Parts: sequence; C-alpha cells; structure tokens
Amino acid sequence: MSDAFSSPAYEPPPDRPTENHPPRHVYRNPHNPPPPYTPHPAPNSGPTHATYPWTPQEPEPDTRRSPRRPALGRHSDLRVLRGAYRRQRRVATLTALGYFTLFLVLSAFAPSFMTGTVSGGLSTGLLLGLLQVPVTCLAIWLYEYTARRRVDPLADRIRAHAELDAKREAAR
Amino acid sequence: MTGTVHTHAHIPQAASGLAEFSGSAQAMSLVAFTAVATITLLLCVMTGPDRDDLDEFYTGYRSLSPMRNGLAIAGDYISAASVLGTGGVIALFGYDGVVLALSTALSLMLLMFLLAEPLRNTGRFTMGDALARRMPGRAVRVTACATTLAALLPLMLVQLAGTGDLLAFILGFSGESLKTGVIIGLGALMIAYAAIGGMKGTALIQILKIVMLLGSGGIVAVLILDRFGWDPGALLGAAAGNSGVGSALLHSGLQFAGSPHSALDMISAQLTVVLGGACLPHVTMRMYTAGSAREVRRSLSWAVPSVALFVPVVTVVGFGATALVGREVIARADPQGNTAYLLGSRAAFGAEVSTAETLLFTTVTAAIFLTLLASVAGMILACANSLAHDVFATRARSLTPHREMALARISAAVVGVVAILLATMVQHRSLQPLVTLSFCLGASALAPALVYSLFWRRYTRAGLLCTLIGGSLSVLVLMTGTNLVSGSPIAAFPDADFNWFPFTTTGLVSIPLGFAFGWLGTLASGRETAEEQRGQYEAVEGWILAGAVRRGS
Repeated sequence: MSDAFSSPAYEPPPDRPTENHPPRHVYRNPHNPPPPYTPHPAPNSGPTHATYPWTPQEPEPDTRRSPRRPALGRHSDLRVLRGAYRRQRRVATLTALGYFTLFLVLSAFAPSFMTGTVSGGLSTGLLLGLLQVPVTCLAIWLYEYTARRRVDPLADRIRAHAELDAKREAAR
Repeated sequence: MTGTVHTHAHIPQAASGLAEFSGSAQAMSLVAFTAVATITLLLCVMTGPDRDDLDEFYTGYRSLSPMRNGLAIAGDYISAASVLGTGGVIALFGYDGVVLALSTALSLMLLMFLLAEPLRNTGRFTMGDALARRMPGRAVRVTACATTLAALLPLMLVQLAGTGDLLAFILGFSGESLKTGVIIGLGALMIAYAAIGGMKGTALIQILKIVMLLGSGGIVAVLILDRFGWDPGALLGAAAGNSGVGSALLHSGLQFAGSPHSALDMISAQLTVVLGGACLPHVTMRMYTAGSAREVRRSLSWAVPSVALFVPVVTVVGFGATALVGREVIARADPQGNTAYLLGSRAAFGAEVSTAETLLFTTVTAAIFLTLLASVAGMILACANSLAHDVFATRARSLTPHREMALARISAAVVGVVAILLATMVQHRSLQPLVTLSFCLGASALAPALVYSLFWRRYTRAGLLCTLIGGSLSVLVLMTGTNLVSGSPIAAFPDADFNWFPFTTTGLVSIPLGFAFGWLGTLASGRETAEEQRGQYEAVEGWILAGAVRRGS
C-alpha cells in the first residue's frame, strides 16, 4: 500500500493526457478511431481555419476584442462538447433532483400513500427511499458509461488541439 | 449535559448493556485510540510532502489512483457529525433520519453530475482558485476565503466540542476539565495531521477511516439484521414498538413536529443538505487532487457508492439502536441522539460478549474516533490552504513556494487553535444550530457562486461578490430567528425566545436569495461588463469543459 503513496517522479504538466503520446504535430488518437458523430474531419494544420465550415451561430465573437490564439477548428468542437456536456448534466441532475424532490413532497403532503404497507411491515415511503441506494449506483454507472462514450473523445480532441497551439506558440 | 454517563446508570434497561461499556471494552478502546493516533500520525509523517513543493502539499501531485482518491473523497465527505448526527436522527425520529441520510448521499451524486469535472478543470488548489479563474482579483479570493472559513468553522466546532462528550461516553469519565483537556489534546493532533501531512497525508487517513467505518458498520448492521431474522419489517416493527411513539417513527414528520409549517420545514431542511453538503470547501478541495476531469469522474464513481452504502448501514444501526435500547434511553444519553450509533453497535452484540465481539466493538469505537480526527483535520486543511493561498500568497507577489508552504502550515495551526478555543466555549450548548449554519452557508453562498461561475457566461465579479456576501449575510441574519437559536428545547439559547423565522433551516429563503443576489449583482454591473465577462468565459471555456490549456499560470 505504501508504494502508491510514496512520491512519484515529478510530472509538471498534470493535464497532459497520458494516453496521447504519439507525434504531436499530427493529431491522431490511436485509442479513439474517428468518432462517428464528427460533423467534419479534424483539421491537421492551422491555416485551414479560415475556410473551416462551422455554422455562424455566434457571428465572430472575437473580432471586437483583442486577438486570442488561433482557433484551429476548436470553436465547433467546443460547441459540440458544450452541447454533449450540457445534455448529460441536465438530464442527470434534473432526474436525480426531481426524483428526490418528488419523494420529499410525497412524504410531506401524501402521508396516506407513503405509509401504505408494501410487504413485511415495510412502508411505501421507506421502500421508495431505500430503493434510492441501488438506483444511485445504477445512475453512476450510466453517467460514467455515457460520459465515456460521448464526452471523453471530444474533450481529448480539444485538449490535443490546445496542446498543439501551445506548442506552436512556444516554438514561435 | 453534565455527567451523561451517570444518568443512564439509573435506567435499568441500559444498565446491563452499558455495564460492559465500562469494563474491558473501555480499556481496549483506550488502547485502540492510542494505537490509531500513533499509527496515523506516523503515516502522516511518512507520506507527507518532503520537498518545498506547493503542488505536492496542496494536491499530493494528483498521484492517487481513482479508487483511493474516491475513498478519500468519501472519507472527507462523511464527517463525524454526519455519522453520529444521522444515526441519532434515525434512532430518535426514524423516517426523517433516513431521508437525511439519503439527502447526504444525493448531495455527493449531484456534485459528481454537475460540478466535479468543470471544478477540477478550473480550480487549482482552493475554492478561491476556482472562482478567481474567470474573475481574477484579490477581492474575489479574500471573499472566497472568508466564506470558506465561515462555512467550515461551525462544522469544526461541532466535531471538536462533540469529541469531549463522545470520549467521555466511550471511556466512561465525566470530569468537565477532563473533557476540555480531551478537546485540546485531540485538537492538537488534528492540527498536526493537517500541517504535516498536507493533502496526501490526510488522504491516507481518510481512506483508512472510510474503510474502517464502512467495514465495522457493515458487520454491525449484519449482526443486527441477523438478530431480527433478516426481516427488515421485524426490525422496523421492533423499533416502532420500542420507541414510545408507535408507528409514527416510520412516517414522516416526527422531527419537525414542533414547527408551525412542518412539511415545508422538512423539505427546506433536506434540500439545504442536498445543495449544501457537497459544496463545502473540504469536499470540493478533493476534486483538485485528481489528475484529470476523467479521473475525478472515476474517483466519484467510487465515492458516491461508498456514501450510498453508508445509508443502509446507518439506517439499520439507527433503527437497531431504537429497537434494542429504546428511544427513551437514547434521548437521555444525548438529547440529539449523538451516541445512538454507538449504543446500537454495542447492543448488537447482546448481553454475552466474547473477546472477539469486544474486539469488534473496539473497532467500531476506533472507527468513530478516527472519523472525528480525520474530518476535522480535513477541514483545518481546507481553511489553512485557503488562507495561505488566497489571502497571503496573493498579497506578496514574491512569495516563494517554501514561504507559502510554511504559511499554510502556520495557518493550519492558527485555524486549529481558534477552533479549539471556540469549541471549549460552545461545548455546553446545543451544537445543532452550528451544523445547520454550515450547510446553509454551503447551499446559499457557495453553491450559487460555483454554479454561476462555472456555467453562466455573463456572470460578473460584482455578481460573484454579491452571491458570496449576500448569501452568507442572509443566512446569518435569518439564522438568528430560527427555531434552533431560540424558542425550542434543543436551541442554543433554550431559555430565550426571540424566534421570528419559524423554520429550522434558513434554506427556504436564503438559497433563492443567494441565487437572486448573484443575478441582481450581474445585472447591476451593466451590459458592458457582462459582455466582457462573456468574452472572458469563452476564452476559458476550453479550460472549463475539457481542461484544455495547461493550467497553473
């Protein structure tokens, strides 16, 4: 047990995805073959971003302010990621909170329903409550599963782009 | 509360059960406590940061595996106040206590679903880091630190002050000065954990604690269920029969029966726990110790089931305590029922106790002891990190890592000493208002600030400050009027009655207020600033969502 707690070798950039070691200049992720939902092929080099086909939903938010780092197609990736995250968060949070609030409201305002006996002296309320424990575990598994499938590959891609950017900037 | 141990010697039913409490079990408990304290301190010294590296002190290099990190999160999350408090509420009020335990578990699940990953990407060491990512500035950091202290100090006081009573109960002494001595001595030990071990050392203690707590609790729960022939209905029936209130124990409403709006009060109290519990800084600080957002998620996939597992354990032990010992006895041992978990565990072994069973019971008491030590140490560390990193390190630009780490350690000592002093002063009062205060602050100030700053693009600095200050102030003002401060027998000032807010928690009003203040503050700062913030948010959105750019600048 103690070996895992002893000081590891120093690793300055904690964010570097450890599984993304292949050549930095060409982005290719060996673990995630091109995801099926990609709206476009991932760009390999910088200069293409001018003609890059992202729907102008928020028309050029950058132009007014000081120039930021080159976009590299991250904008549309970011939007997809934002959507994926948002969907996942909303569904998970609202389901969990909604179920519990419903449970609380029933407990408080519908005592006759919640005190009905189900079997062996266990009331509906306690059963519904304690059922939440296995449901919690199931929800965690479901969240982990969807995140791994829908969100992680996108986040990886954006991080790889950002690293590419940073590297290019450093080389300049 | 003087001499609680003597009071239940008069109760015939408990006399047989508690007689052994003072025999070999006490001697073994004392030995176990000494062993636990020595071993954990030793582990802390061995695993603590040995170089002048802030990353190592504040985050332990993010080197823990997801499982270990998850167990550490669960350990930090289940404080002694939740184990003993929830056990007590279940034993005394039945159904409402089970709902409280469920709220506690749900809170951590919401943290995982909503905040954990962006929080990991945004924050570096402290709450101030996470909030100041978009809105740099000293005012934000100082306010974040003040809110951290305000939210955690009451919780530390509760556990420190409870330590004296709990050890007096387990070890069977009753001298007031001895209790104060215990608080001071154990407080010093907790400071040592935080100052020497840093995040990594305390993580190890938290892991040890959660494993011991769940392991021993699980065995006790199995023993109790076994005594009732593995029939939960029989256990509940026995508990209701032995409670003196009959089947009301199994229905909602017993805990808030004295309140004029009991149903609303119950909902508001539970939702305050759901929103506030996991936003407390000593829990969120463990998010930063994971290597990436993905690892935070995996860690929490371990942490949430561990906390969820704790729900049936504490439910069975709590109901078992009522069924086997009786509600009357529990209430007399401690009006809040804080000793119910121990009484239930003790009663699970029956009248005839073998050496193995004594050993098992000693494990239970040692687990509780370790829980006390570890949870306060975690809170001291969260406060100290925030003081050192958010307040002092931002004032002096040229602060070397060596100086900052020394500052963090000194801050741990200062926070700890202040907490010990205050704890010795409040130890004879009802501690319930302090627990509620912590959770209300978490739900009304920290939760809105975190949700807004991670997800609302137009959120401005003024809005953030309004949320933190306005939310905290509304809690503090409303708190003075609640049932827990005056006007009820469990209040902090039971003799006075200046109750003007007829609820137990302030959540019903202060949580909406916290969100409203943030919204109004943002509106008041004007369209220009909000648009600027929006741009700034977009600049760091990659950070927040994907952990894209290397952090630490």
